[in-house]
Amino acid sequence: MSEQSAVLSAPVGYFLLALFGVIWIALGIYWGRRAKSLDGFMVAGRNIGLALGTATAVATWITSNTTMLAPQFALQLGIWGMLAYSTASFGLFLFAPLAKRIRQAMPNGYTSVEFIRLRYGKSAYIVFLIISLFYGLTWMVSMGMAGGILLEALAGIPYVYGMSVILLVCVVYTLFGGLYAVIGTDFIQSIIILIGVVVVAVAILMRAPLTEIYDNLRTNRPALLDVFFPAAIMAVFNNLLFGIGEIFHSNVWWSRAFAMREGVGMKAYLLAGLIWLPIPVVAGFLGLAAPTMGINITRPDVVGPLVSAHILGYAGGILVFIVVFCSLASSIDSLLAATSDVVTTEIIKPLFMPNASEAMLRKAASMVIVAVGAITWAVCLPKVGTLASVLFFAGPLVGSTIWPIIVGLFWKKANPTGAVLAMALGSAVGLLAYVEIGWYSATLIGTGVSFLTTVGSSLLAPREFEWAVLLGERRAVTT
Amino acid sequence: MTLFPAWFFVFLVYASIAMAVAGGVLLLVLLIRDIGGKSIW
Repeated sequence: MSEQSAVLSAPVGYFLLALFGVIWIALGIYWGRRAKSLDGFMVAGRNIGLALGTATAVATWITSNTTMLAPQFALQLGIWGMLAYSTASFGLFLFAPLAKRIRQAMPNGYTSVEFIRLRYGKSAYIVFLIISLFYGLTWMVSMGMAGGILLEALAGIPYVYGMSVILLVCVVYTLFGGLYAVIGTDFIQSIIILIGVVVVAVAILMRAPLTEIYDNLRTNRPALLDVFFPAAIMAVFNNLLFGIGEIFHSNVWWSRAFAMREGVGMKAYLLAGLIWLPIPVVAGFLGLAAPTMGINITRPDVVGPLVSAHILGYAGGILVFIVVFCSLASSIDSLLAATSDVVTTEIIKPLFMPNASEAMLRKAASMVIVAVGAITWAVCLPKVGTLASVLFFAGPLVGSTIWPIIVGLFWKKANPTGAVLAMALGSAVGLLAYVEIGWYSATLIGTGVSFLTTVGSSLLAPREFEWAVLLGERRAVTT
Repeated sequence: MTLFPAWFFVFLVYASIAMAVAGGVLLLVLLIRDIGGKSIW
């Protein structure tokens, strides 16, 4: 561990870990009293209001990458780096009308995989399930590893301890409280994160005026202010489409659309996009301020904490530690819950428990959360750095799902075979572009191929679809 | 090399901080409103 990067002593780090771990678990147990039924556990009773609905989308989308990678993006790609990161909010904006449609079309739904199965059939279900689980697990592994690495960098807590504690805390409170605990803690975490990034940014402004920071950059690192910074401009398109693909396909976002009460989803996602939009700029600005403040950055990945500690001293270090912990927890708990829902309802139920009652599925979902947490822990344990980079491969995969989802939700004549081909071809061609051209082109090309295949096949060979099918098995049982 | 003007940089940072503050306040206001309506979830 670099001495420069540690901004807290290990005992303080352990104390903060224990303090927030106990708080989240206690809240999970308290809110878990509501999560006795399957609907309560998986979709929080389907009655989430606008405040919690908005906050949970904001907090979940603020990962540790947002607070830690945005300053690094700014330090390396300048103003465009901050703007590129901000475009990830477009995923939230564009998902807003989908959230409304999802809630209306599938009032009893649980997962995005369920939608694909009912809308396009078994082949599409298999392709989508593979993409969905691959993405969910790699995102979770990247968050678990980021947790261990960041806590080690910030407070000198050994990687294995930090990673294990963060995963354990998230597993325990999600296990007790299901989506109630996830959404409830997300509200508190979103407020803490917003306060943290604003306090640090204002503290910097009080020390170094913006004009001084600008002049310093213009003199010493003008490329960071360049309007035509090619690598940064390409990052805009990749981030934009990656963000849209991540949100459109992932059950993390679909489960919230199911959980929000009628009429809330669209407003919640629009507001969440607005609240999230400035965060990469506010956090990223720390990276641009570093040279002016005379901070020698030897590790760009921890430039945010270094600048915070430089400005606010030990208090700044504590603040960053709490913000990072909240950012990690708000994403890991969501992934645990959303992945458990998919595995329980779309794999375990049809394969092993076709006649299971809701109570039995509720128990199975709990066990899946523990299993997913354990698998994530085991994969994170060896600290293979290249694993985190696997997430970048997911760009074309998730990008290829965008059009089958949009078309499937709104267009009655979408062709199911076209949807399968769109996801398979989009993923394959996108990955090829990743290897042959570069990371910046992969998502764009994968999404483009998927668009042409989905729309082309539906225009050439339209298939009628009965929307009532989306009401699912529950309707079939009750009618 | 064409640089972003200083006013744009200043506007971007100040506007973003203001939006982040407004976002936090909005969340609290919405929570109070929902609690008032006894329907946060």
